Amino acid sequence: MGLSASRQIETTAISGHLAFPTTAQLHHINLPVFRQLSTPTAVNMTNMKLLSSDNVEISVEKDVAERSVLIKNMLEDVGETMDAPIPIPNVNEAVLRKVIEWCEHHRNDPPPPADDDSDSRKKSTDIEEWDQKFMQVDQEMLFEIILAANYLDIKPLLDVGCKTVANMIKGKSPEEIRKTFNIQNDFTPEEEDQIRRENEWAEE
Amino acid sequence: MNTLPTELLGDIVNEAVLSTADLLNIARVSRLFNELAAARLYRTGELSYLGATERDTQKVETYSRHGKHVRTLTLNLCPHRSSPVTLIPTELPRLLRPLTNLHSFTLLDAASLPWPDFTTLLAKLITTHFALKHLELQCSLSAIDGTQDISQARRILHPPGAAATSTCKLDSFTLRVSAKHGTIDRSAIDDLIEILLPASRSAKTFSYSCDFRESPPDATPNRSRSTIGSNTGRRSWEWDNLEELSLKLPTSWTRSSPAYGIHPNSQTTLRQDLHNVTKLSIKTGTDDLFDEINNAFEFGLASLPALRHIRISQASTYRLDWDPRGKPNHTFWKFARTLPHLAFLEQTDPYYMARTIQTWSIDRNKDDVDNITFRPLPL
Repeated sequence: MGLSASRQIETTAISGHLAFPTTAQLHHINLPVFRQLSTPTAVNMTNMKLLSSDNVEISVEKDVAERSVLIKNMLEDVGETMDAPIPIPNVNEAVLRKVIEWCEHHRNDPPPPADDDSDSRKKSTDIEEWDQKFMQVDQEMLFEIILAANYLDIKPLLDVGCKTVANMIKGKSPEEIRKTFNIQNDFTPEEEDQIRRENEWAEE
Repeated sequence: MNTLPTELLGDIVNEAVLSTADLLNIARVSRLFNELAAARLYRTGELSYLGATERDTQKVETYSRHGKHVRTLTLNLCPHRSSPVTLIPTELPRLLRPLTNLHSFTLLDAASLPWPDFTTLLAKLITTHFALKHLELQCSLSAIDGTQDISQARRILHPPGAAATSTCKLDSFTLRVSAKHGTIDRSAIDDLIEILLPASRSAKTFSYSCDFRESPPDATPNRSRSTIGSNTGRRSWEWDNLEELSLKLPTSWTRSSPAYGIHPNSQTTLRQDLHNVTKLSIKTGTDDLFDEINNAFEFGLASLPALRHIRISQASTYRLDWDPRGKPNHTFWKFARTLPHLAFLEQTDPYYMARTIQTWSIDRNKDDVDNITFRPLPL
């Protein structure tokens, strides 16, 4: 029932990806469970289910899932908890399991400060040893994890992902960067030369 | 999906692990990478305009080319034999014009631009850079500054036959002036107030530092005045909602003045709209602060009724008894009685001004205004 219901959810494209259903959309789903949630007798459960984009239900503890600000806010809006699976329409099972693995390891981390902005997070260059090992995946999985972290609003995971990619870029020549990430050089030789010249002031 | 997520490339490029050298390499990867690297490379900069080296010139040109990315800029106007001061007024707007998102700007006029050019430059700046929120000006005033015609700057702000030109609205404003001769000419400060006020009056914080006292307004010499605008020679800074005031004044400030600068009856430029100020930081001579004869500072405090926090930095070697406990005649008690909301008194090291050496919390008994308790707070 949850699966068919999730397909009824209207989704919107944001930055080329499917958006998470809004609370209002969830309330409009013709599912008994959502009607139940609005009643004061809703059961407080510690486990919940997530539904990946390839329709696989994954059970996860609520406090682990709430590392995702998106899920946390949604649960707060809808009610204490829900027993229908929450659809995660643009994260497949493999990636979702990796994300949950990270969230489980970091479940007791203090939440980032409320005024934490991206600049202050970026000032730190260190990556914990566990996170370094966690990010030792193929490039496709790495990018998928970063996108999932962005989509689910898990800033510390997003930051670890971005730092990992930044470390892959560090010290590489333009050609090496292109090769590493399969990027096409769309500059003419004259343009590239001009860029080199205009940035000469910054070179040591 | 095996390509770098372009929507997150900006976050990746902003990671601190990437150095300037890395950014220069990133800038040459592709057009998209170039745009993102430029956004970080040119976000904050320090330029010596018309500087001594070819590299300075190249840097200025590049910043101008990437102007939309520049958010914070420190610009040092330097004179040079190959790029004389006379070129700056015409060439500088060319640099500034593309900086459409300039948010914070520090201008150091080491070139000592001619006064009409300097005021015109300021007028152009505030009427063209609407994203500007933080402005710091550092200039050294000569004897003739403030005695010359500034009608060109006035015309920018008040075009003949048209409504006043819109300006940016600053959040913070810092003015650091020094004098090449004896005193800061009051007329020069009046001109600055006149030109900058449309932008500065919205500021919530104002820092003013000068190394000489202002000349009294009566001493303003006769000068050529444009018919556009008016100048009474007795201007003062006006504020919509100033909350923090920071003053660094010369040690002779009050001795040479009828009263302390912020005294409501004084004729200095700091006398108006201070009723919302909650924090005052002041550095001056101890004698000026606590002179028992004219009590200048205490009188000045009356114009700051909302003050909650005073931060004092002594500039002289004279030592006061800094422990007010059990001493109702102590100067700090007078402060506390004058200012009903005063909650903190802080003193900084006279040498290392950023180092706090003493903080008092002020507790009051609501039923008895004279029942005040000073409590030292841990540093």
